[in-house]
Amino acid sequence: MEYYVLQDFLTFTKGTVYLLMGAGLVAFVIWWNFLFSREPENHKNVK
Amino acid sequence: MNTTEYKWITPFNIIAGIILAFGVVATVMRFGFGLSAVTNLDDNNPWGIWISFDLLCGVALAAGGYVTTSAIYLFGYKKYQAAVRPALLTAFLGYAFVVVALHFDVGRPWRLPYPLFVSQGPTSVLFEIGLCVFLYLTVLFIEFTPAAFEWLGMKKARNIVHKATIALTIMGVVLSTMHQSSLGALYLIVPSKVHPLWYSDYLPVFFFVSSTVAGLSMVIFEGSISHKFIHEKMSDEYLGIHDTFVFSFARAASFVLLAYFVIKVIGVAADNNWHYLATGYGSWFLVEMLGFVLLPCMLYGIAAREKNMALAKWTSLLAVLGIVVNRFNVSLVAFNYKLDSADRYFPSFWEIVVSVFVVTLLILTFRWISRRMAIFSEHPDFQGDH
Repeated sequence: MEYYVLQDFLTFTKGTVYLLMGAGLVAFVIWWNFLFSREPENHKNVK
Repeated sequence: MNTTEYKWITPFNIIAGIILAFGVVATVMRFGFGLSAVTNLDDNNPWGIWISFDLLCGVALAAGGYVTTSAIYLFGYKKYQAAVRPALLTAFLGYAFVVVALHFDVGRPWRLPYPLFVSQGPTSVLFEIGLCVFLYLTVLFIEFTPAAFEWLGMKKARNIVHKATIALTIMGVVLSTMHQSSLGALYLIVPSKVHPLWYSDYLPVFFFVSSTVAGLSMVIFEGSISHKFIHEKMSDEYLGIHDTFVFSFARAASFVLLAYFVIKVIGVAADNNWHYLATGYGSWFLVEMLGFVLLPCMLYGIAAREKNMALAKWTSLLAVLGIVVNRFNVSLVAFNYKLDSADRYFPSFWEIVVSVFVVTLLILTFRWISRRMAIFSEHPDFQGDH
């Protein structure tokens, strides 16, 4: 994709970054559940 | 310890002795005849593996100190208290030998205090790193002194330092956050020299987040090595928490690695560097991202979930290697990537000898201290006093 002005470049890259951030947030929740799904309840607490 | 029973002639001691002998020769050559006698450094490549490995990797891998103390004293995981001292000792020796290694690069050791006390450069990132390393090394030394005071029988001094634990921990976290990220910020000054896949405005963030992974992984790795070679010095309390401690750290490392992977991808997207992925450097970048970030992330997660100790330990080695690969990539492989191959840097034999020499000194000092002081156990006079 070619860009002629900075605004085009920023619109495209910022848009991609926002989509990746959203995907990342979803991935964090899924991965957190994966990591803790086999932990007994009393081990989930800090103390 | 009964010294009469100690075996001096062991394979480890023989190899360590040979390395030390080579190291002494390299030290004499370096300080007697200058950098050109022992290094391949030149005007294009003024920083070699003594910076890439000894400093960048050394500081990152010593992050176990602030990671462990903050987890236990600030985030409340007090049940893992027995793991603090091994982590602190590793961090203290790690930073101390970073400074030792820095002498080989900088030279004229008697002028080491100059940048801090004589001629400061407060607008320089390097000044901030030097200041933070100086202060953090002092903090680590003070945090470590209770073990030494217990060994020396100085109860009053030990108790005074012990009361400052929380303050020292907070200082450690603040100083680590600053200089771990600043090591990445060093490379912001050379956007045209670092390959775009490794250069990013977010380099300080990358370095700080990856240092957390390095700290968590190094604590697991160092614990597994110590488990094998100084098992007899470990208390029941340490052995009792060891497995759950490793799985907790593996879980944390897995989560942070996922965050690191996501922000690295965001770094590529923010500068629209996708097209570089189809090049040779892109292939190597993908090896780093998939093989040394995403793979250990998955393996740590599986190890913590399935309670697989062997997998957690091997993954810690992979993650540590990943940090080393990343620091080498930023400071050597992807650095000066536009130069002709004839002008590229490759370390000399003696540079490698010095790096191995410094690591060997660190291991020997760690072994000497951990065999004498209460590192993997509680001192009998201070049982349960945390």
